[in-house]
Amino acid sequence: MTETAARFLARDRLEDLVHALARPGGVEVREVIAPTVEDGAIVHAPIESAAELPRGVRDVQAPGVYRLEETEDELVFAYAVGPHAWKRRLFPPQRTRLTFAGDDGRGAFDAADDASPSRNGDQVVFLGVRACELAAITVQDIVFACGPYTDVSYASARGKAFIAAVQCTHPASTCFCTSMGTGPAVTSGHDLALTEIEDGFVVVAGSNEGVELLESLGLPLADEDRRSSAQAAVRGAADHIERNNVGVDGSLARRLDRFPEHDRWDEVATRCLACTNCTMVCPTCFCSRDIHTSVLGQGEAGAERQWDSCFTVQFGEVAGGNFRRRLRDRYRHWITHKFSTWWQQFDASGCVGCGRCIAWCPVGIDVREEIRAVTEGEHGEDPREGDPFQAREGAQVRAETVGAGDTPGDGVPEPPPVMATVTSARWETADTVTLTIATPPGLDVRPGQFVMATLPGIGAPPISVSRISGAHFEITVRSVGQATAALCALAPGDRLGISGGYGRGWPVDEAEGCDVIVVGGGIGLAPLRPVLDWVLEHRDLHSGVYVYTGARTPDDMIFAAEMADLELRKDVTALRTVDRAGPDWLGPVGVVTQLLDPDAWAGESAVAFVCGPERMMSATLDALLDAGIASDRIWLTTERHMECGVGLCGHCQLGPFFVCKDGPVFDAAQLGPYLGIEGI
Amino acid sequence: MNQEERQVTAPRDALARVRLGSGLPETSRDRLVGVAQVLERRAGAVLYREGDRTPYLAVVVEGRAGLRTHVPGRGDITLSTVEAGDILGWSVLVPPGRSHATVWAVTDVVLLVFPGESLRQVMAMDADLAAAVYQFTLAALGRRLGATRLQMLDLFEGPPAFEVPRPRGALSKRLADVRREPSQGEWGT
Repeated sequence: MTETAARFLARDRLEDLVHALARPGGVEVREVIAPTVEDGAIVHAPIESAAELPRGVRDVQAPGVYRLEETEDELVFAYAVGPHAWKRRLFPPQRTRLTFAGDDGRGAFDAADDASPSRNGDQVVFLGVRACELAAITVQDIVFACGPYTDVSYASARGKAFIAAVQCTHPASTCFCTSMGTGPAVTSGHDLALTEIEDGFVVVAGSNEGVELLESLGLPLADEDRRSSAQAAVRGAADHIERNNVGVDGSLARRLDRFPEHDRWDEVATRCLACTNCTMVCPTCFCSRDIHTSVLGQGEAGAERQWDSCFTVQFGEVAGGNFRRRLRDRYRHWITHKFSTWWQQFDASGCVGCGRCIAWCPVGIDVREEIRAVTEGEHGEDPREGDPFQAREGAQVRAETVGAGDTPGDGVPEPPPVMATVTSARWETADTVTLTIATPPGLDVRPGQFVMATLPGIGAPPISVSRISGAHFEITVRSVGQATAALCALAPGDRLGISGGYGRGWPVDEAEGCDVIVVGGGIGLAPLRPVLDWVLEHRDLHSGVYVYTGARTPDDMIFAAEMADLELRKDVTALRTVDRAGPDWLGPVGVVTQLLDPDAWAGESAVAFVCGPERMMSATLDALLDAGIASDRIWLTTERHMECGVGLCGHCQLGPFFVCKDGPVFDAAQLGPYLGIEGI
Repeated sequence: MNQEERQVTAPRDALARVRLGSGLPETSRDRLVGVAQVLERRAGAVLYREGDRTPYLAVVVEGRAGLRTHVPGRGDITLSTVEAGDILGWSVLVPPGRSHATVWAVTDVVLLVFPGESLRQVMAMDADLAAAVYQFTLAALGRRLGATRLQMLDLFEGPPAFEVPRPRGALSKRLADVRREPSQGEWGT
């Protein structure tokens, strides 16, 4: 970028700036989105003229309080952030994610990824972006555009945005950007940065495009007095925020994940209304859900991607269960992720200190107070890292790749489902079906991975792959909800959408030369079956093979015939148990852990693969660890609510992990700490 | 059970195999061996009967035994099974000395048994021996209690099944072909 000095924009030339932003080169091509007053709040809206900016307006913000007051001055940026974050333009509250067209079962899905931040789909200017908001955009850049999968809609919108930032001079009592290291000074990520002073604006460029725009205006250099006034105004804002002494120690906030059972979670749950306001106004919250829709009789369907909130009961819900039923769990999840596990996940803080969640909370819950209450008694820097905000610079560098307009980073576009044909359907039990599906071109799936099985207009549940066999693969589905019931109803010749294989699979290669222990419970045997297939196919590469499976009753056993055959093999030790036996059952009765026989295994060199209900996995893990198997040689797979399968929707958060892309297979060293924590 | 594979017949060998009293002084172990017997029972044999006087404490050396209880209207229900290394007849150690379940041999079994009266006598005269027996028994009961608790949780119950839609028209015939009920044989039972 060409070096640029600070320029001075006189107040009466603000209109020229707005004109130049909208018409660089003299032709109208860009929509200018800027702060305006609407319904008693400062919100973002398209403007045609500088006269539409909030002139002579101040905001009063406090926990649960937001109101505007009029003044006699001419200042147009003398307020802090309002309820609108720029994510509304980059990641709109609702957009079409998928379309499906066709009938007679010959239809196909298409990705609808051409969202735009502007009304006409062209370039857009964000005028009035604050430093904390630039940081927030960077945070969302990392989430949506730095892989492994990219939200192409976001990346496209991001590439079309010219950012004219404004340095804060009038912070609110809710601001704590200084605690989070994000403001109030604008340091990077902008094309222009304005600082409002009494008679106008000191303007600097942050990109070549910004330099060109300033040159087109022919602005004079800002003199020393005006530059000093601008610096003093920003420094004064920082001092004001610090003097409020209501900041939060960012390094202590990072320790929130150490207090999953703190009493404060119960206390805050008595005040929180779960209204979701905090997540809606948060500039970094990125969770979404896909609403599957259909047009009756038209052969058309699709999926609308909408903002979602981890405060809703449905957020952690899976068919027949809920991972965060209690409000305390949902509040803990939100704040712990935002301030603590976000660092482990994205190498950045999920909070930028804008304070919106404080002002717009109807009962005035102040995150700063909650963090202080939970981390009370903790001192000093987090020993896990050095400077907790050091990563910010790295995040900015990564975000710069987004502006180029092409797909940024290492990510690939989130793919639409590919249609595939069911070739057979076999009932395993009274409510569980194994579907054999012709592998569609391009689908690559490995043991332990899952696919999103999409039925137009119905849903897209994640289903583990239960067999991979040449030109076909299998999924085993238990009918526990509307979507899985519809999958169970599929018959040979029916078609469904498949995307995947997603997630980290079983590391079958690591078992080579080792004793292999496979422990499965109930439907949990389904994702383990490809491991068995692999091990048996390469039997000579493994030492002992021990397969222990449990089911509720003999009638609830899936793959029963295969497991019975396995019991007859001389080169495999296979045992099945049931919790409840009928008079005809002569096998073991009891929980699956009773089958385990550590004396038979080559202790330290064994590798274990485990899947089943969490409590079963926990008991199995104890037994395997007691047998001397290292935690990083014990592999477990887990379940969470998923909407996208590729790390973009936020639903499957588990501690610092996305189950969909960091799992679903984890080693026990990773997953062990979270087993048994209610509502995590 | 294959007779040729059965290596353990002497009580001393059986004791070593099930790791009972391995830390005991020689004299104590001799006392324990002195009251022990090896019993072999065929599959189907009833080893204990619910409510009867418990004849002996037993450690399963080989095979599988099932603990059953009778539920009026439902017949005999197998509550759990025990395998090599597990104990049976622990009630012989505590009054009133009556069995809590009916135990039957699911397969041929080999048991190391300690008749109640003889066992109580040597435990009364040898505190080390008594401690070893109680510790062994408590550890086995602890495992069984933990497993029973997990069993009570009914971990594999899962959510109630959602009724699978039955489409009308062309699909229904195809669906009928595959939506047949599995036979008992297919379930491997």
